[in-house]
Amino acid sequence: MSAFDQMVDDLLAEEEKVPCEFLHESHHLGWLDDDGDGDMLASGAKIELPVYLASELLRGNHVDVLTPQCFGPQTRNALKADPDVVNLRDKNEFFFAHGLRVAELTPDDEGLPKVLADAFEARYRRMLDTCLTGSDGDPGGLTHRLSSTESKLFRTGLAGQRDYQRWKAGQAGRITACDMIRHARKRQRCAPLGQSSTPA
Amino acid sequence: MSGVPSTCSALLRELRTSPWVPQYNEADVQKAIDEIDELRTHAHSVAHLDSFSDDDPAWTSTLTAEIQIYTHARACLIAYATCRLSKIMELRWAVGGELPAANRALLSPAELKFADAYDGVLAEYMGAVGGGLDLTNVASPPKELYVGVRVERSAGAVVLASGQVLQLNAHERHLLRRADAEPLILQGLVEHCQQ
Repeated sequence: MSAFDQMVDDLLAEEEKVPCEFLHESHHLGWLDDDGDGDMLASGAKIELPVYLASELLRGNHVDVLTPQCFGPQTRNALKADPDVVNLRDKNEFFFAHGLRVAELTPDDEGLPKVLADAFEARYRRMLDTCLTGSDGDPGGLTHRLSSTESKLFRTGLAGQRDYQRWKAGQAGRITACDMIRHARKRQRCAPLGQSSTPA
Repeated sequence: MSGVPSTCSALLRELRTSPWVPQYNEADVQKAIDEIDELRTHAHSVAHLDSFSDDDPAWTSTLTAEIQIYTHARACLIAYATCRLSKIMELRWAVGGELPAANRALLSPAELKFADAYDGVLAEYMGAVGGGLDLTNVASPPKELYVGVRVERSAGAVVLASGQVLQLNAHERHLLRRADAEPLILQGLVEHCQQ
């Protein structure tokens, strides 16, 4: 995970949407609204906008930002009841990064930061446990429930554990082909013969 | 146009899910540039309308939205290009030689030019600092001078760092000097076998 990969993730997290309500009409913005017609965006129009856009419009007092459904009471109750089993990837891939941005934009909603912090803490412990004690593999489909941030942590933990096992087995000095080459070769092997990998 | 354009984020998602870099997406990059251009021109023309007023939120919200959208799209596009270049440089260090053909096939002509130029400056630098020392070699301190390797697939003759020529036939074993063996292992031509 290089600094550039992190940059890509940050940019994508900024694109997650929040529901906004326009406080006045806007010229030439009708195209933002899928259901709207015409050039003019009406006052009171409710549209889902990316977070980067919502925050600027909020600063100019053009919109009100509402809490997205993925941070609604249903999710909060589920996270309080048993944080481990909630599938955060289904709710939002960048659940925590997006949650923090939403919390910034909806200061009246005081409960959200605490829900996020508690959920992260509880899930982190469980994840660490799985990394360090589990064998290779994915017990209980854990990785399918993780948000992007968690999944990065999980992979780092798993790699650390694997390096330790290799060192214990006296394999640490073994030189291997670099990951990028190994992946490229696997793909080549999987591709059916006589079919080029580039689309015509 | 309907809704916020998403070509740039599609490019980034593609980049994010691929093990190295995805095939350079010329069509989508061009489409993204066109979208940015369209919004930029539109924002510019709105600001110069006679009816435009700085104090009217109905106009300022339009400008804010359009400028934010194209600025973000531009940032995504720059990230796409920079991230790809950084991965090209990363791979050059990892394989310690020219990029393998399978990887080169994914790059655009401009990126290939960059890869070759990077190869050139790196070689020049290594020639200058160590008199021909290969800095990408021996990434970890060696335990033994010679390593045993097993050839996975026949790959013809290769010239080793020491100047020797070695014929790589499938399933043969060789005992090589570590400095000779390491680049071959990194490039995936042979496998390191330990006693």
